[in-house]
Amino acid sequence: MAAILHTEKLCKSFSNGGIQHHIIKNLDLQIREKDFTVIMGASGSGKSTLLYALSGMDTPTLGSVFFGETDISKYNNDELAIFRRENCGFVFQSIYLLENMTVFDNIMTGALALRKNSPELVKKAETLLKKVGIEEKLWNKYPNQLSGGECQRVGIVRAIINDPKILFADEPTGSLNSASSRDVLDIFTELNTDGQSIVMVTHDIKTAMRGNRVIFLRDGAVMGEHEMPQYGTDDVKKRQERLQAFLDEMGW
Amino acid sequence: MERILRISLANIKKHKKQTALLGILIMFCMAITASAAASWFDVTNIFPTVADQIAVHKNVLYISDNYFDESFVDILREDERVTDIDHYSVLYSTTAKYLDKTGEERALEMVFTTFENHLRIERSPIETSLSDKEIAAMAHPVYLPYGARESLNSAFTEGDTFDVVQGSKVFSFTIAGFYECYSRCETNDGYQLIVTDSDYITLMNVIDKREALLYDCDPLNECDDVANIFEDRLTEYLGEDAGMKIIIGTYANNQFKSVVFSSAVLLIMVFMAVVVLIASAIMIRFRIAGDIQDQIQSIGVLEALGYTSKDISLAYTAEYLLTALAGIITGTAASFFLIPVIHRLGEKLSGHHTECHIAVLPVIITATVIFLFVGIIAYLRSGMVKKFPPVQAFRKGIAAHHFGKNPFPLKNTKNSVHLRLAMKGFVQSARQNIGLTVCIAISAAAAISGLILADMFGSDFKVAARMTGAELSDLNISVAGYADTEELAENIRSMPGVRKVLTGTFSMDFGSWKTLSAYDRSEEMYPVSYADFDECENIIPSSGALPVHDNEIAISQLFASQHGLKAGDNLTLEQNRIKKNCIISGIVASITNNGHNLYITHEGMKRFDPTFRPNSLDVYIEDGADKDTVKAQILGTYGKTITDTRKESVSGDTAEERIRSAAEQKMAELLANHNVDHVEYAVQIGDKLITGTSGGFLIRNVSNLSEIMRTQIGGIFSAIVGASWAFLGIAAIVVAVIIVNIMEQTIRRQRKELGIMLSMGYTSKQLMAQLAMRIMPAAVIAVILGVFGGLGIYSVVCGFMFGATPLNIPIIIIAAVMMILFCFVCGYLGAHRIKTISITELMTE
Repeated sequence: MAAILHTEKLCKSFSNGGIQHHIIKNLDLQIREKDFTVIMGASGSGKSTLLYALSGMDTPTLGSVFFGETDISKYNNDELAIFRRENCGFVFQSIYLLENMTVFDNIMTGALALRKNSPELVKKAETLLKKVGIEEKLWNKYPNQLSGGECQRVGIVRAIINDPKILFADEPTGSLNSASSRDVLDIFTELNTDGQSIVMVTHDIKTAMRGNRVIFLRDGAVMGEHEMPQYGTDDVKKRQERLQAFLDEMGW
Repeated sequence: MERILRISLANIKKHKKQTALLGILIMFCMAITASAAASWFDVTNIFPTVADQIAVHKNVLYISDNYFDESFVDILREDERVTDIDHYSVLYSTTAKYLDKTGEERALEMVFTTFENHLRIERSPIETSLSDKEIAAMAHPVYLPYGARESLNSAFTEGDTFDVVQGSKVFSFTIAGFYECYSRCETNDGYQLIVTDSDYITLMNVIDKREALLYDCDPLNECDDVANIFEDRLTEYLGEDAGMKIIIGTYANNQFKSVVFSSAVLLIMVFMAVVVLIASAIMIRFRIAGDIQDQIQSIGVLEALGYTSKDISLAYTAEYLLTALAGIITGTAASFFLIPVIHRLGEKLSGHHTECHIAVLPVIITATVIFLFVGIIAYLRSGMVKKFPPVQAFRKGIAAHHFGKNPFPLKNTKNSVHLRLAMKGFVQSARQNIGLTVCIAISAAAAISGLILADMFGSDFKVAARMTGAELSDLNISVAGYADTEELAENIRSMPGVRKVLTGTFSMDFGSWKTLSAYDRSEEMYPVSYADFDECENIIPSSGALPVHDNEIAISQLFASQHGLKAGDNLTLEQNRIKKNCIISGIVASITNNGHNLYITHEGMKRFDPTFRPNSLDVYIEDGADKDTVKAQILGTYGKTITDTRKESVSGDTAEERIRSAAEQKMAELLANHNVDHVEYAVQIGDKLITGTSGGFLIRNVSNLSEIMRTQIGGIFSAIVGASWAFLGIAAIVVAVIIVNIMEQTIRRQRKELGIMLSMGYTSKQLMAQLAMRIMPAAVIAVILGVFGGLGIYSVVCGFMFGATPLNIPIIIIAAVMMILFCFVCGYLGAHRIKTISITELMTE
């Protein structure tokens, strides 16, 4: 599969009280199209930092991030914003719905950032909401009238409404209970089955099992990779055992 | 107390920029109010102080010399209130001009006096930087009032040449010094010039003499009444109207002239300060409400730790009192610089010097009022803390879920999502926007009224000229009584460069006015008569219409206000015992002749005097034609004016030429001052008989009314224009500070939402534009309200005097659009902090 994203000697460091902290160190990495890539690692290993650098949310300190043949690390903030709206979708751990907007307006805010309003766009939003199980009676509710799982499903619709070339998710089930987590992960699996490229950060093995490629980071460098068949095409128990073995090997 | 102050200082430290902005507003307010209040007494008392210090006599009446006799002194003395009288001669020119520093001629009334006579009206020393030797070396030294040195128009210094132009002659003086002059001390009033005895004698040949009749009265505030009664008694004594022969310079008259414009500037300053104070109050309310919402959880923690709501309210109040204190201290310091500037302005506008005292009490009162005002506003607003008990505060102030209607749903977006998001934000911040609307509306009202004043009194004089209620043609010609004015007009009309000629009765030749009276002769009316008012370019009615029929008249706004008259009312007028009832067809903004102009057609005048003939011409020059060339052409055709001829010295190479010159001079004198209509002369020298008539004198005087107005009031207008621009500037600063403050607070409060939108691909510029657009409905409404408010202020302030004077509507519309754009730019630039929002930091919080 062709690489949709790749990095060349990617470095990211932060300064805190005059002391430089090197979070990502000379990282060369490829993200393949239509893959469900999972980034794992201990706290502070740099996985979220890598996700933000890959998605154009942040700029690298050194090195490059290529989207196809384009080096997005040279983009300024406005160019990065345009890159994000045209190519990326985001699902966050804290969900980050706009609290002063209804469910439907949250989705339309994302959609209208890229294109003009049309009956087709409204229809698409309605279809996606139904698809993720958000009933029509909730569409005009505000986020604080919804459960966490419902909010996250709305967040996913908002992230995919513009048909992003790549969907980024930062611990999307981190703040959800197990039932809601399962529902959300099922949506991700379904999206990937339909051909959606996904990059997800997690430290939960059950969440990571949904991916077909697991990259393990330690101290800002890739320690190892584990390839798996697409979720649902193999035995779940064996899949978990193999992933666990890989993680054990990585020192998880 | 210490713990309260600790919280306050922590808040100030946290919001340094916003605290600084509020401090700046309070500083402005303090500086403007304190300096206006501290200067008020000194500036409005410049003239009384000068009068007490230097005036030998406090009232002066200038009476035509060829008219004056000693019995006038007795008539004045008949009034028991008159305590002391003196009189002496001066040279008084209403047609003189001087050359300003650029060499341009400027019309100015001038009173020439000698050293000896100067000391009979004022005892003030000469101030000069020159040595006695340098002054002694001057051929023609002149001493000018301080006003000439401080003039806003054209300031002179010692050693400068001061050229006086009278008719065709130029008298070149050298300025030897300046002095505190009691009367005729600034351009609005004319200058009293002290010249040497020999120069005085030279000037006597070209400038009319007047008798300066000086008097004191007790009580002083009845000086005007004394002058009016004297005028009435003189009219009775002479059997003819004495009003036109006397130029009044009473104490009250001088006092009014010296303070009217200074007071206007001070009032503008006070109004500005009120605008700034209201803006500060709104800003304090915004900030406290925003702070409490931002810090609601911290407030909950403090309450849980045992702080009462009152403690927390006091902490907020203390924060703003500390800010106010800083603003008041810096404002007080600034006012100490501003007070001398206001004094200087007062000196320039009054033409007098004053000592600058800094009155401490008004400064203390101003500081206390501002301090208390800020404290009360802050305490009342911070009372909202009481609404949040600790548990509710922990829940970010949410007591119960309350969900309103979803304004501007995005699925109905038609064009720009940014505009729709902005409108959504506008509705969701409705309360904040009401405050913003009030603030911008007040500032816009201040700005618009300032702009109207600046435009009205601006350099092109267009609107100000309109207020004169007179035709300010390029050349105003006073015609000899026996001349056929219509024929003269017809001939001049055919001259090259002349666009239009109107026949009328308005001229600077006061002797030619034939007044009418109203209200049983208690009000003297000055007829401004034209055959067809539609031809007039500067006389425009503020209400009703200009007269068309012979029984119609128009009156000034001032006269209408004083007598409660309006268009459609009747007024009985009288001239030569003939009374006629006239219908008031309209009202005209008119301040000349103290608002006693009477607009009437030639046919209307004939109802009172069947022999009436117009005696002035208004000549309008074509665009591009030269005024002086046309004037020379007119004088070349009709000979010299009576005014110029009677003051020319006898000249000629032969005896006959000299005799003719002398005869013409004598005829001109008779025509000008003795109500003579026709003169013939015959002189026999040997066999030769030299004869002539006055028929050649058709023109009494030529003047340029607009130029006279420009010189007399140009400096004052400059001061008002300056104050108006300052007004505009302050309004702009207030609006900018408020909007920037709102943007800062909005970004602080909605940092998370803005970060989410950045992550969705909205650029920072799009979000800045969205935030700026959010305030635009408030800005548009506020500017519209402000425009009407500004027009309201203007109409209340100026309505009494000028009525509905013409407004420059395109400028007001352009200004309104500019203000709306200004609000957008302030909002856009004020939202630049969006760029500092780091999505990564937000997501990893």
